[in-house]
Amino acid sequence: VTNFINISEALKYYKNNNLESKKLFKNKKDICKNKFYTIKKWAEIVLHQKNSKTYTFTLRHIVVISVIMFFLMGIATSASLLKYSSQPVNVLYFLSVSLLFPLIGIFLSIFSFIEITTSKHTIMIDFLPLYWLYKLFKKEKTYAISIPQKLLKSYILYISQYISISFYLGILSGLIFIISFSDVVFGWSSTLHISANELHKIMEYISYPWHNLFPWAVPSIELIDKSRFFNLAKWNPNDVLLVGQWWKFLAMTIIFYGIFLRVIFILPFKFYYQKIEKDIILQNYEVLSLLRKICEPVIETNTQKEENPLVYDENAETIAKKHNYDYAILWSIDEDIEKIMQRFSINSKNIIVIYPSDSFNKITEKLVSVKGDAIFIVKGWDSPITELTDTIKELSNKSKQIDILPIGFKEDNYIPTNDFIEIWSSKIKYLHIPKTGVIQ
Amino acid sequence: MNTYPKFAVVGHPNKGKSSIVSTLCMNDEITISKIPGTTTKSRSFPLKVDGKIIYELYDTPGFQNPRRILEWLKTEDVSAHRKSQRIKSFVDEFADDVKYKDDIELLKPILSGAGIIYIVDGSKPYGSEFEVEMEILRYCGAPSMAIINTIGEKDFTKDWENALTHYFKMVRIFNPMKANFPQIIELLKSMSHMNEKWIKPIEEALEILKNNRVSNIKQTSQIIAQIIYKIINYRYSVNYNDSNKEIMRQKAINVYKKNIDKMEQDAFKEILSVWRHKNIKLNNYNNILADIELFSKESISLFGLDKKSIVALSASTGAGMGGGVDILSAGGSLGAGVLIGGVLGGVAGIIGVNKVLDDRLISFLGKKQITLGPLKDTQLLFVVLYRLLFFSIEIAQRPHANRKDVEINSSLKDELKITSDLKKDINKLHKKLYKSDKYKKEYSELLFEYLKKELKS
Repeated sequence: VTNFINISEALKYYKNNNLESKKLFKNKKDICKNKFYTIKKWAEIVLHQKNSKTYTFTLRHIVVISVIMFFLMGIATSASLLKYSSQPVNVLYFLSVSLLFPLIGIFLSIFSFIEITTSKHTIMIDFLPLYWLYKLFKKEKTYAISIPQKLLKSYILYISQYISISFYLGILSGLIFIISFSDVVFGWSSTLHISANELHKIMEYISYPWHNLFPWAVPSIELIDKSRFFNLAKWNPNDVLLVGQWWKFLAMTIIFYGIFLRVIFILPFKFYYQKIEKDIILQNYEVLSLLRKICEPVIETNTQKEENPLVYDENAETIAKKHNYDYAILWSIDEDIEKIMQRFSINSKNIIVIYPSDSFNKITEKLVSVKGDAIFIVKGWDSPITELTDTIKELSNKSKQIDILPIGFKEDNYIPTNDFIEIWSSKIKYLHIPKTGVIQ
Repeated sequence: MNTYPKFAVVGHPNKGKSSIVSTLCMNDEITISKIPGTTTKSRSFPLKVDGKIIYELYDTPGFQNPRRILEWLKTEDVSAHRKSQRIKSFVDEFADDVKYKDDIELLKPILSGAGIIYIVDGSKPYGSEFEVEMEILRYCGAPSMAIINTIGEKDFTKDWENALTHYFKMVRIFNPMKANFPQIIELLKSMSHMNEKWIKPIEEALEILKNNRVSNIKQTSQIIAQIIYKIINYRYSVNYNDSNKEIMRQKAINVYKKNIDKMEQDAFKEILSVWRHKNIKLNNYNNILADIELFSKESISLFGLDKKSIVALSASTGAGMGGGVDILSAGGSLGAGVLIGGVLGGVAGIIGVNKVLDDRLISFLGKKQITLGPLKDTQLLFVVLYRLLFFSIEIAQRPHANRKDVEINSSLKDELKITSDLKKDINKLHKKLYKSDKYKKEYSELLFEYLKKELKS
């Protein structure tokens, strides 16, 4: 969960920061071989830079507090179980805590594990105190990151094993402490009429895992027999010493069933939790996106320079064509001149053709005599470039009126499109050329 | 001195220079307008890989005074090896002249070592006045090629080709509004051949662009998988009491529909961002759940716990109390207390939830809820999926000069080539996605293969 929280936290800082994320890695050769390692490392670096420890720090606190709390509870349980009040401590009662509870706990853990791995909804895990602690913690609203339920539950299951071990370590410590500093005697009895032999057999089954290794921790028939119906007043001091030896067996029960079996279970739970965490992290869309940014080339096409586009008034007014003009000027139109004049019914005494090859000096020469009303015929699709508009501007100074006629394609019988008219009229309006208009 | 390839995209105003730059550098932030003279400054668009420039494209204003410039250039007769110097002299002499501002902006990148990409509009008739511009560019002495932009309806390509081959060794036809990825790659490859030194860096860049495209397809499929998973599993709850039940139900339905729409729209935005499109809008967008009748579920909770948790907690408490009895019996009960306590607690929890909790108690300690979702309508999921796939294909194929709105409606099924086998596989995965998110990867891989095939990548 630490990895998940760290990564989620770091992602908040570095959202959409492609190149910066990549720059965090000095040794670029090593990155991206292991994606999970890469993202973990990335989060570490980011959080270190941002000096953000809050989340994992608090989470660790919860776990540490739980471990200590359960250890103390173990000691308290042990102390209450071994409380000596003129009656011997009931071995069966102690066994229920040192054997039955661990076995039930392990059974529940296995059941929860199966539930988490196979089902979307779980119930068993909701029993665990850590789950309630998390819910309590979450309500504080300090927890901005939502941990996926599957990850949270597999983590709680995994951490619960440590907490359980801590509890039994507490019981064991309590047991050792009490037997070290006081004289505890044990006894047993049952209304079920269990004989000493029958109980011995049960004890042999229970202590089977260690009977070869620690035979002294297997209760003898004599011990079982002597501690049955134990009453301190009736027995001699030697028997008292003997029945005190139950502690070895009880300690081994805690060590084996309460601690050792849990240690074994930690491994698959840890492996599963880590796998879930890794899967969730590497399936997270933002993580995948970030990994891509770190591991794949970052392509950028942005420009630094701001654009300052010219904005024209697209609704400029147009004018109507006259019947007669003193001058007709054709700009870069050297074909079908007569046809064009006829097509648009243009009557003019003077027709001036500006050829594409004409130099600017030549153009000035050709236009020197222009005066009165003039029609300026241009290719509608051709842009009103500066040298053309400058020419129109100059003509407007010495003419009565300049009417611009943008013509269309030959294929369209020279009819201009609305776009041609619009482009020319807005440009002329933009340039504020006096006595000049564009013919609709 | 930077040695990466530079290309100045030049020509007459309004011939589609900005469109070509936008498509070639995959950037849709360049202003494109039908009004000539919109571009007033020369702007460079570098293609950077990990911060390093691989090549650079210059969007330039159009020629405004070609006749004047050529006339000036010709006032002094110089031999071929000094012609580019003549251009430099012109730029130096008229640097502060407002009249020549655009022309100088156009010539500057060429003088700084950029290759010339001369753009003409193949949908407009050829005119010999363009030869003046080509003559000026010849003066520059830079490596050059011409592109006939076939952006309009009419076709005068042949005339243009005939004319341009007299001035340029390489002439290519290209439509920046319709060009697909292989066509863009092909054009960039041609551009690299303008100068031998540019071949290698451009080839490297093209390889990166190709890989990036595959990566983008993968990312797109992950976005779709993520959003479908979220929609499938989305739940929305509101509290109600008996007086406002119907109002709250309607409110919940509205919020639920709105949030599903938002999820889909967020996915559209993310897909646009992956493909670096920032200026495309959705057209005719209709909400997925607009006319769909939704069913809600009512439930109660106490202390923030739902029915299931109350029963579990009750069983747990019973087991704890049973454990206490076990302890009190000094282990004599052999854990039966835990077992019996657990069962009794559980039963009490069930009875308590169903019978004992009356309205007053719930209003005091708990709440009543209306819950919508998860969405189990498979047909509806297909509608969302089709929309996202259609949008992805449309965006992935779009050159960046094309900023038309994308039409999104609920009947896009026929636009996509989805086989019945693929549909079955998708349907199976939709059902699995309801159970677990672990199928998200399999789902996104299936979509990735489909998109890759459709986009021919």
